[in-house]
This record gives sequence, structure tokens and C-alpha cells, in this order.
Amino acid sequence: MAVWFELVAMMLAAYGFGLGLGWVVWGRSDTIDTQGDSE
Amino acid sequence: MTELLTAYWPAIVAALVVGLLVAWYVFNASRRTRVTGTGGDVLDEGASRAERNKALIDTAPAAPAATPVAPEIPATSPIPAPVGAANIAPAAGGDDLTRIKGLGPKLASLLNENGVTTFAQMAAWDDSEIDRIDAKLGRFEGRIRRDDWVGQARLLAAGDDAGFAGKYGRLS
Repeated sequence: MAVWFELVAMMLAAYGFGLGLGWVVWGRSDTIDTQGDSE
Repeated sequence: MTELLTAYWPAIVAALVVGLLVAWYVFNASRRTRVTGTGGDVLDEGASRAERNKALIDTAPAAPAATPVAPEIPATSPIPAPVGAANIAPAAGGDDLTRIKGLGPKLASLLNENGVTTFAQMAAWDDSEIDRIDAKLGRFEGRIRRDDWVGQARLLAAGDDAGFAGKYGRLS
């Protein structure tokens, strides 16, 4: 396997991990109010 | 793998930071609505403001000449009752406000508590009245204008179901 391929895969994994971490920190707190007051 | 990690760890960290930045932008910075607090909402169970509103409604007015909360609609209102409302359970003595898009049971009961029970009342709202009601909607603040409740109420009050469906979508 080419070195650059492994590097890209690791960077993508790190990027995804960052996205997931960001979702945990900022994205989960408010999932309400997306389609009206359905409560 | 480990050699790559040790050799290119700055690139990996940079990718992680970029991911975090993108997530921050998507989930936090670009949001139209913001969560300003986790408690104290007027719609929360046991919220003091909700209790205060309820107490104000339950107690008899101090003076009989007290001004009403919302404009009274005369019994001989020229605006007819909505045609299709018969199959939907309306609030006691009023219209089923949940027919308005973006207005659910909680908001409907909140409006009822504030004396708003009919589409005709909502159709007659001016800017100052909208601001007054809007301030009482808690985390739903801004929805009156965003979802054009007044325009919807106008059509529903006039019984124009076809016009309503054409402009705001099918009646639910």
C-alpha cells in the first residue's frame, strides 16, 4: 500500500474524529425545534 | 503505521483540528437559533412563569373594568368560522390553533392562556401585538413571523382551505 494512501486515510480518520467530537460537544445539545412544536 | 504517525503527526493533528472547526461551524456558529439556557423556560414543567400565568388566569380580576389581554372579537364577527374545523377537536370556545403550521399543542395552550383562542384574533394581530405575544413564547420566540402565523390565520379564519394549502401546504 502506498505511503500517501495510508497518510490520507489517517488524515481522513482524524478529520472524522474531529467532526464526531465537535458533534458531541456542540451538536447534541439542541435537536429540538427542527420541525415545529411537535411536543 | 507508527512510523507514519511519528513522521506526520502534525498533519494528523491538523486534520483533527480542521474537523473540529468544521463541526463547530456546522453545529454552533451557523445555527439560526441558539440555546440560551437549560432551565427556566416558560414551557418547562413547574416553571415559575408558567405558574404565574396560570395563577393570573385562575384568579378573578381585581376590577371588572380591567382591560382584556387580547382584543375581543364580537359575536357578530364578519369572518366565518373555518369550514374544515368540524373534524378537528377545537379548544373550548375557540378554533384549533394547531392547524397553523409550526404551531403545536404546547404553543396552542400557551396562546389560549394568553387569551388567544381563534384564528380571527390572530389574523388581527399588528406588529406590537406580535411582539407582545412573541415575548411570551420562550424558546419558540420568533416563530410568529418566521412561520407567518398571521397570514395563515387570515386564510384559516376566512375558511380558505384551498388558498391555505396553496400557500403553506396541505392542512394536517
